[in-house]
Amino acid sequence: MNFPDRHTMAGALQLMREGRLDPAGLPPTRPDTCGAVIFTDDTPGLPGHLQHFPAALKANIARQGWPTTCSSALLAGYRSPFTASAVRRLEAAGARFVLSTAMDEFGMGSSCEYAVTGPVANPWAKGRTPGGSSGGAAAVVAGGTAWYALGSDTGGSVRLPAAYCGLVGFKPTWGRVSRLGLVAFASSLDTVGVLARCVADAALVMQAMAGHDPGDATSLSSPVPSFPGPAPVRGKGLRVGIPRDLLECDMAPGVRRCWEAARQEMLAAGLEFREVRWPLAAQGVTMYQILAAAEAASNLARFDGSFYGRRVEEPVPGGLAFQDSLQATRTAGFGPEVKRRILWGAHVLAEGYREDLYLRARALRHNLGRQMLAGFEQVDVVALPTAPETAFPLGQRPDDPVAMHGSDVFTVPASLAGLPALSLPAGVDEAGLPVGLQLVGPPLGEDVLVRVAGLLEARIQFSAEQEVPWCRP
Amino acid sequence: MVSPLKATVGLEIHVRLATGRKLFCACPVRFQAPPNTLVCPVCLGLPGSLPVPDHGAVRLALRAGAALGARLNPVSEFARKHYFYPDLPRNFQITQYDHPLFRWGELDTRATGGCRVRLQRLHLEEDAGRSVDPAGGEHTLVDANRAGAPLLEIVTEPDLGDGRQSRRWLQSLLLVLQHCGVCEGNMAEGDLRCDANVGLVGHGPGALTEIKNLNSFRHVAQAVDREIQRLQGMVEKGETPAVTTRGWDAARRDTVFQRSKEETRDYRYFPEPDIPPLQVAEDWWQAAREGVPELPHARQLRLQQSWGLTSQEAWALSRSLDWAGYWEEVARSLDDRGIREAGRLAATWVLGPVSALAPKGSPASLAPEVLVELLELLAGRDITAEVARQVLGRRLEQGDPRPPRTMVRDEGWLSLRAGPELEAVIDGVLERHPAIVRDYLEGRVQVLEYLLGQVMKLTRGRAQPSMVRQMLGDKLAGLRGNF
Repeated sequence: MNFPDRHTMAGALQLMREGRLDPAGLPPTRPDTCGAVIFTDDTPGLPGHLQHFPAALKANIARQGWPTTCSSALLAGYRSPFTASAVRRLEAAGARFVLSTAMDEFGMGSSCEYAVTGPVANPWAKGRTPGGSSGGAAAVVAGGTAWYALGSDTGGSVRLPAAYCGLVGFKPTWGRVSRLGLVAFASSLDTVGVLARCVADAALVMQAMAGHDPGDATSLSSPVPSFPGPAPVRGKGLRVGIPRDLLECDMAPGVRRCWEAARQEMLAAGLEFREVRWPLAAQGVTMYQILAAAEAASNLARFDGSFYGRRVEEPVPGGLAFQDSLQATRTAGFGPEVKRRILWGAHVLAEGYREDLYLRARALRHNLGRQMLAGFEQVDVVALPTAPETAFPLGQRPDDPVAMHGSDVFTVPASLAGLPALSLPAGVDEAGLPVGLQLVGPPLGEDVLVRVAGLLEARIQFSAEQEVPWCRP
Repeated sequence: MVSPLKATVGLEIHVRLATGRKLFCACPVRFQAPPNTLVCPVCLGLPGSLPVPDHGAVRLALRAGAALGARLNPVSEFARKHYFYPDLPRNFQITQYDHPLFRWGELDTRATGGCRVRLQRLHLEEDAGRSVDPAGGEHTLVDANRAGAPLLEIVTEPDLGDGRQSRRWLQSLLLVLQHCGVCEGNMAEGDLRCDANVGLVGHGPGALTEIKNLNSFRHVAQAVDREIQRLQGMVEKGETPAVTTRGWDAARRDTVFQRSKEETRDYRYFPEPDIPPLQVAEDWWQAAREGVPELPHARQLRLQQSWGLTSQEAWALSRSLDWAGYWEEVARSLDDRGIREAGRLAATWVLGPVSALAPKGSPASLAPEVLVELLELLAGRDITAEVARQVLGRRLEQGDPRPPRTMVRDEGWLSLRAGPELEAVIDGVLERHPAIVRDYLEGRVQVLEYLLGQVMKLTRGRAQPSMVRQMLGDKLAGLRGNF
């Protein structure tokens, strides 16, 4: 770690255990200057080891009584009558959630510009994106407003903002953390993840929220092992896979430089490299666009304003027709990116197109998953950059969905295969913007990811201390 | 005149499973609860809610499949069916599509005068809510109490021929499902709803008309026959019937156009990502097969063949699981005691006085041992049928707890055997009615019944009528000599 221990939960807890820090001596949280916070709540929580560390939720994770707006005009004023399972588990461990944060509407976007409350800025450079869709969650953690945040990752929505904001972003195996209370975007890809300042903090939160939940039929029943603590682990004997097919994609010079430096560090740490072949991974974005849109069109069908949310009623002669109200509500309530994906999703499932688009993408996804799993027969983790570039300027891409999806090329394969993945800071580019290194693990390999990431984190010179926003004087 | 084209009828039946709770959440399912009181985030489709399949519903569906000889898909799959409708909270219905719980199966009632109908598939799905349009109101009101109720959909092959046959077969199906405890069969509460697919032989491979939402047996019979008539009428006039979806207007007794084939909805089915494939463990399937009781049609045949009951008696007993079990216990006990025609004796009394007098139409208030004791007295001619009826009346209507033997003894109801006491009564009757005796002797023999009635009255039913008739006849024959 290259910033003072008391700025991370794991470090502060260690200091408190040793009697060298009391809770009053913790660095205070800072105000949000990025436009990320959309709701605050100061209700005290339960006692527990996480009680001294105010935390944030992405606006698509339900907490009883809180607005769960998903940054959509359609859900303005909607408050959830129940709490997400992941949040309940954390609260039982003392977690105090005090903020709800902006996001790309319903999780659709990579820049946090598609939020009804306006774009969110990156604490490292205010004119740039924090990444998306968990951009608000990343911004409050990087900016020191919260110690950690829960986000959701469907195709990279936790890992990408983590990379752009110099954070650790941890997405579990699909099914490892209950999705009950996470507003569905693409159910077969959605996961609840965590954004934190260091690997140990991310592991602490993941440990508390992982595990079987009878309220989620897709939740896995396998027991959750203890994730390694903050102590450095040895790299000898660990094998790291390099997916050559994906690394042939374009990436920015600063990203490539950090990636090469990270490789050198891994070698120096005694890790062994093996090449893995994931030839279908380069088509992952295309599969993702079809499958995620199909599920999104279905999941978002419920938002018609009749049972909850904002309803737009167009007076119609002779009474109000359901179809008219439905159309008016959805037309006014959804933003452009959501509409784009719903239309596309309805199209890929429509008769006459289903075989060529939806069913083909599903078959490809299945094969990709098999390819990726085969790779793990020879390696413990696979390493690759998190994103091909660093945070881009706000306002550059909202109307260019193709370029926007380009940011996801390295993150969607793990989502499609349901594998756990973690992004950690790997340095900064020429402009001083953070670069992310991504580790992908085998199914249920969260503990391996934590182990390797902890090892790399200790060796990689990430950034000068005074440059990290949450440490800045 | 050419005879009309033969019709084919297939049914799509929605049966509400008797779990008492919804398919994907723990909300109770109850008829006529105040609107929107039996709801939760799951059945309202609130953001972030997830459906979790109820094992109880799966087990009942398995039992239904086992009873209908259906082929289990060891791995089936839930799917989403999309359409926008006010009473469908998620705007998609969770059902099964490409991989239903069961394929094939049949219900064959030919042995008892019915027909054989093959089943295409059986699958689980959730019900929708209810939309109500109050008269004069500007808004449609939605009640989500029913949303998510567990349904079993059964789709038949077009093996039926007309309305009457459809109705009878459907009644048999419901009876089977009730016997298995799969469905309560309360038609008024919508436990069974049905769509009928009507086609004409030679007019396309599929059905010409789908009649939606028939919610009573009578409507099924009427709608199917009316639609066959309509289609045949068109063909006779040289018209070609189009493929349409129609509804049933019970008041006008006619099917009404709803939409044509061109307007067929695209439901954009795809596998439900929130529910993993449904894998049925072998022990569940075995338990389901073992949970199937003897089915009504099989029982009817057995009662006729092994116990000598008439088909009416056998059917009347077989159609009710309660009464059939009750009868069987009584009949077996009587048979064990060496009583002849034990099955028929038990059937006469169970179907007659016992079921007529039993509170709530249930045998629960008369233990089988009690009826056995009573019928044993009757079979041994210790009491008359009249006395037996009185004992039942005391027990069932007045709650008299005494065992029959005790009651008969206490009340002095034991039969009067041929002897001085009975002879004295008969002599007394003959003396008091000289005019009637004369009528008899002059050839109006039917007046014997009057004299018999007098004797029965004086003995308060304790004398065996056949014996009294015999004795009266003998006495009167003796008098003829003196006349």
